[in-house]
Amino acid sequence: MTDTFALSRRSAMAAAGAAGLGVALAGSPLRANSRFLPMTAVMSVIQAWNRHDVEAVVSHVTDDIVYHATSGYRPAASGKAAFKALLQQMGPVIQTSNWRLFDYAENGNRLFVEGVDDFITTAGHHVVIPYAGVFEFRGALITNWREYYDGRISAEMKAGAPLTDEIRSLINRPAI
Amino acid sequence: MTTKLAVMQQIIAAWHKQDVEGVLAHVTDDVVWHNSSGYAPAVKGKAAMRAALETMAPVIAKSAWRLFEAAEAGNVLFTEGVDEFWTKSGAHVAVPYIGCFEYRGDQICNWREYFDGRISSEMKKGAPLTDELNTLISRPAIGG
Repeated sequence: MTDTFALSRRSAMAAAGAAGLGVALAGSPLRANSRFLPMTAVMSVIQAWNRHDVEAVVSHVTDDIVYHATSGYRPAASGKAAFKALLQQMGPVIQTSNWRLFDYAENGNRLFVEGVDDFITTAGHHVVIPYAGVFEFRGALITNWREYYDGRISAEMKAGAPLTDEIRSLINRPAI
Repeated sequence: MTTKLAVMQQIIAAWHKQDVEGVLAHVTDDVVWHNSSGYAPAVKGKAAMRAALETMAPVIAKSAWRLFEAAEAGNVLFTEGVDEFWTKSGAHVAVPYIGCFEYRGDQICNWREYFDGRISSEMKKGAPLTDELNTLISRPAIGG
């Protein structure tokens, strides 16, 4: 479940592309700084994943990366080797995806995002998981990656549960 | 500390005292409270939020709700923290989460929380604090 979720997230982000993000950042105070931009790095990670380029994804994380992918419900993937192994386990479960972000904010070396992992599985189920995440950077690399959502939404929609009005209300917002 | 974060800390301080009205003073009359990551319908309006909080408060013996990180953009405050509490029946519950708060002026008009509700339901039934949860919540709290 978790693996599929992460896969769909990255695939969809790549589908969204970096162009839209560039527009979003153009008016941001972040743009005024010539320093490293965390959001740009996250986009690079996503684009790499869209190419199924695990090595490129892994190149954006530190050797001691900790990936908390389940809101604390299950153990994190700790270390680059475990992170890489997790990526390599992720199969082609997603048929199409429309992962997108609605909002983000930065503070120091941390980037918060709010969005939705929206995808169609190869089994034909529409899965829509509202979520929020935070990335911690050390220099230009992600060193801690935490995602928060209710895993029951993923499990139940993969089993065919319909899109609810509540989920629809959370995701019917302009994407950045 | 920014105004938005200060308001958030006042809400937390009020909840620690089980002061429901102290919490509600910081939300708009038309607040929408998405308190289940999208799993269940949102609570809409201050009256409905009051009813929900008044149902929750009596269950809690002690709250240690606290924040670890925060960031702002425009009228939105992001927080990462833990809703940690001990129930009157003796259960210890620790739910790591991210909250997204939209402000209208100094009041919250949209409150969205993301977490896995299974952690809450299972710990209320006695599930122990796992190493993973302990890792997520063993960080310095901001704002005391």
